[in-house]
Amino acid sequence: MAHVSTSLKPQLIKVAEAAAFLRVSTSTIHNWIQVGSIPYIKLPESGAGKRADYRIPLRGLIASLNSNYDLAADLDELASLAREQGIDADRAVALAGGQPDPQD
Amino acid sequence: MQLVVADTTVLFPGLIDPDSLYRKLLVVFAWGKLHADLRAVTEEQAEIDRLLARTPGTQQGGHPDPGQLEAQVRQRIALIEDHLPAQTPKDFGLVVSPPITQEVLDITIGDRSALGGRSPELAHAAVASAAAVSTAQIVDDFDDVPHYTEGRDRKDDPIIHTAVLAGAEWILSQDKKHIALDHRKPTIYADPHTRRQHKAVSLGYFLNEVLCSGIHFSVDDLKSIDGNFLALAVQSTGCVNAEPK
Repeated sequence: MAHVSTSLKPQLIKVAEAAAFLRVSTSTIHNWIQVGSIPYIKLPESGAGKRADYRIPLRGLIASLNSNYDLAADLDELASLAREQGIDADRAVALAGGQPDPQD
Repeated sequence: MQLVVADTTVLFPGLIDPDSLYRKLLVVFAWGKLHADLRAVTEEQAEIDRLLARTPGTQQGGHPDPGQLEAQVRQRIALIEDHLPAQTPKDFGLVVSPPITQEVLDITIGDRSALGGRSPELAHAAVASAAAVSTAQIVDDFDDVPHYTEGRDRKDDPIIHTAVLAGAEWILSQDKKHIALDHRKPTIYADPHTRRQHKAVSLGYFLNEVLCSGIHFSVDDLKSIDGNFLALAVQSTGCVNAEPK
């Protein structure tokens, strides 16, 4: 069953799902949980020696990204790097496999 | 809320070129996301409360909690609203999914990109930025994707499947060979189960016929948006998250 988080459907997702969505490792997600930099729900432990299980509010996870990355600075750096490489929007469209509209 | 799935032919130029229409469109999506978040925070806390009540021993932790999220969102809206055209639409929301975040990662550091391999950290930040401006997120279920493009490009089917799963009305793509086949009219894809239709269109069509087609918000209004406001929409407000990075 797909987890669709929209304004109408909040979702609590698993650590592996959060990692797959953001293309990071599950260790990264666990590290963020350990320092409290993403919201989480810790489920009761099911037995001795078992790793704690968590659920993550998807909307809260998305909102936490600005504290786990410096997105404003990273966007600036991406733009600088692209300029340095001579990549403008049209070239970026082509690199991604598309072509700009004739009227653009 | 009109949900829009955009592939990397739209997302990637928006992420790397702050002066482009692609970036200004991302600002509009970020604006829509902030207003959707404002409506959604109480529902997310209700979902958490249900889990806490259902399973004794569960604990809520980390930041931001829904209360903090609401404060962050209100602060971001206050930071941006004076700088946007008065009638900037609030009802368009971007959808992202694992196939899209993977494509952003690939195009940012993969072989096709002139940024190739330069900075894996920046590639992950590009993924996070795309996610940060999204209103809706699809988290799984891409194992069995129907052949929407009828074999034109199997890699593009998950993009259309994202729209089907999200119930998104629009698929925005500059890929004229495989997804949005005609820049003058929508290419229609249908959910095989519900027959609900999803319209794949080019950027030009979307701007002229959908986003800027009303009397209150024109293409010139869109052009007047400073693409750097995207940073304002996603940056840390520093007001409620006391935890270290």
